[in-house]
Amino acid sequence: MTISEFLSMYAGPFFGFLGAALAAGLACVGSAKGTGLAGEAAAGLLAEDPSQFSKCMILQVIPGTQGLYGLVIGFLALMKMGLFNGTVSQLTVNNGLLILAACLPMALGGLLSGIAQGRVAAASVNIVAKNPNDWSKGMVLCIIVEFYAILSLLISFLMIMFGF
Amino acid sequence: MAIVKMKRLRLMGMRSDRESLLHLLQKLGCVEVDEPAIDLSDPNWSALAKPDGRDLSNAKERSALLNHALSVLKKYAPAKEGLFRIRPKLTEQELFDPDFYRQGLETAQAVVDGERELASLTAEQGKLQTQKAALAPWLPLDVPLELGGDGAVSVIFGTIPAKADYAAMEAAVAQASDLTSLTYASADRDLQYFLLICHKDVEEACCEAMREFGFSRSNVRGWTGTAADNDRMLDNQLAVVAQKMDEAKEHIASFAPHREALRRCVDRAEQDIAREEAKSRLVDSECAFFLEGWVPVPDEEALVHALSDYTCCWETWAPEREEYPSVPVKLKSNLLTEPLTTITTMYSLPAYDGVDPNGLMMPFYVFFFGFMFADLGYGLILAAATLFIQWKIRPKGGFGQLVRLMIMCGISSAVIGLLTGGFFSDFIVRFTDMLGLPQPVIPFLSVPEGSGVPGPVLDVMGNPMGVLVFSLVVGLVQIVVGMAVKFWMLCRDGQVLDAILDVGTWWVIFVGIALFALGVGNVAGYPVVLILGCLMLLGQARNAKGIGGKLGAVIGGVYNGVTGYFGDILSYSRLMVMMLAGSVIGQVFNILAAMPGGGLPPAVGIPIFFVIFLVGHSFNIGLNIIGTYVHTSRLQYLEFFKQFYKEGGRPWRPLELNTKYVDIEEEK
Repeated sequence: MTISEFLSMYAGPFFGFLGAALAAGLACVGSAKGTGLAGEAAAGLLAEDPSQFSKCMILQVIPGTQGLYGLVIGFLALMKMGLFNGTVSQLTVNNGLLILAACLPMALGGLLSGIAQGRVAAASVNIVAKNPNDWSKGMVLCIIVEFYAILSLLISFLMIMFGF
Repeated sequence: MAIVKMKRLRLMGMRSDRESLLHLLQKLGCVEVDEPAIDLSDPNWSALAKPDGRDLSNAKERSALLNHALSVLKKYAPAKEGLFRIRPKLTEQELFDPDFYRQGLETAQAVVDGERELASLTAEQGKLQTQKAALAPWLPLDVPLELGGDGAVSVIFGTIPAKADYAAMEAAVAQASDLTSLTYASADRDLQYFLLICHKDVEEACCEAMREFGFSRSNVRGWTGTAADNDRMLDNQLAVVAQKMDEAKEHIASFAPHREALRRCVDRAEQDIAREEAKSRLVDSECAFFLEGWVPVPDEEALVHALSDYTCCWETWAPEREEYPSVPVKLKSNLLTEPLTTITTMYSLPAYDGVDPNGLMMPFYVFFFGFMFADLGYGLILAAATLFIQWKIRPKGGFGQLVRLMIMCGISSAVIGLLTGGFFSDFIVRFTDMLGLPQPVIPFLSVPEGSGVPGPVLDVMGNPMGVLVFSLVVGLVQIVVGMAVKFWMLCRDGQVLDAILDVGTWWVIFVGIALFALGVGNVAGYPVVLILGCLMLLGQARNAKGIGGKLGAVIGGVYNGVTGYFGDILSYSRLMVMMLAGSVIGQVFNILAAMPGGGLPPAVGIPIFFVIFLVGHSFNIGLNIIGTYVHTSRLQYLEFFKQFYKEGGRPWRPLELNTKYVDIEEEK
């Protein structure tokens, strides 16, 4: 078996899976780091003032959405590849590579925006500490970052749905 | 739907009427009292003085006492009232009933005294425990602790570090003299304890020998009898204290039935504080007082009518434009727009000469929320849950507004969810598929191919581009509405030229782009309207000086417009993405739930399905509500308000009855 034969037999699904894995995996890493950062800051405040739990929890959850967006893209990629109706083995190398490329915006956008948003959320915990009534402003600040995860999701989605 | 017009109020009354007038104003709740613009240090005003603050500090003290009593009760007798507490209804007279208040204060004092008693018992307990711990090392010694030297014999209670070698020390002491007796008592993590009895003459030598091992004397003075005797005695005392503490706790807990009464008194104390604070802003002379404040124009008549029973004089006038920054802002809302107040105040109230955004925002807010949350099942759950809260506890303030807003948003989500074909995402299809049943025929929600019933109007999975374009068009509509408000505000203030050049220009450009794209209205191959719009851009130069300045102003205007308006419109793509994300995540949970059930008999598969379904969808609902709420708010703040909003209003804080634990009923 030549290399090109090998590639044409196996590489299509591989690249496709790689894309889905990156989209879901990296976005989840971003969310984990983001919620982790926010959670640490929140725990610091809660040690002093446990009554702010719900506000802190909402701030901590906000950087969690990137992981979900990554899951959405990963899931759509798997669907497009035909994993759920059993045609995944017929995926061509070309289409596999398209899936991989389509997943990249979500993978990178999710990873980095999740971390950045986590930092904003952690800083917003300070608002809760000093001025609990103004905490929703911190929430709005977090959501500004969220938009870029949304744009990543949008472009990845369009590429997957209309790529081939 | 508008910002309520305010009038400045000046009122002079008799000092003897002061308290009852303040009560009246508090009941009416339509006057905000603020500081009069009088400089009391000016010798001309030397006859005037501020009322003393004694009553205010008394009211605050009482409130602190009552609140403290409530927190003590909460600690020792937690209330079992669940999530929802129903506020009792009272008349104003009942709230201010002096006997009830006095009893409440007495109860609160008793509760606080009980806690003080408990605190001193706790201190006592701590002291006894410290003593017990100090005795513990000497328990094995069967020697009275008061044992001292009798001239010939020295008795030394000593310690050496835990790491030191006791046997070696014993040997060293024996070597120093044989007139010694060394008894080992015990050891703990830090020290080893022992008793040395020796002849007085060799005490020095023994101590010298032991010093090498880190010896130090231990102080057991003040005790009589053996350590064990004392320990037993302490145990008895501790038992007594513990029993007393239990009794004290029970005593405190026995006040639990008075909790509601205490709460009622807290509310009463808060009203007193509010009134006394208003009083502290008055100015008094020997026999009269002077009040300045704001009264909303619609309430003026009621106020005047109520004041006619008193010997007093007053005047009101509309504020000048320069005074606008200090005028309090009250939004006049109806049933539908009132809930939006929470969204507006989170941003900032509009300035007095601004525009009340609630009514303008309402249709967009509810629609956007519904569009992003779009799911029949989710929407019904949200609407039902918030309706239940509203019906059960009638929440007040910002939380109440949020609850009522979510009722509307839930209904809107359910309707849009139905039209877009989402019922717990694709629950119907997955569930019937798992059971091996044919797909049911339900209009919009479950439409098998060729069934002939209407399918979803907007299907984000089937036609994402269509939904995306729709989102952007809706966004354009909101932005144009915002611009129209700006246009109106500029015209109202007489700046018609600014309105046409700053706002109108872009409308012409938008229309021009639309016509150009459709290929309509071209004259000799040129898109006339678009060119006209671009020419109007030159109007941006009208206020700049010099050719460079004018050029810069035009370029700046073009740049800001292009990046601003197009960035704003693109921002509405989140409408489609949030709808998509919610629906796909729901779908993922449905697939996960159906997966184990595929190969199992329905009796096993269905419970498993619903467990995963329940967990997954609760998670999705929770996360989506937060996300949708914030994204919808953001679209209002950053895209909509940006077009016209003039913020910075000072919230209206009248002297009123503002209760937390009870509701005041109108007296008939």
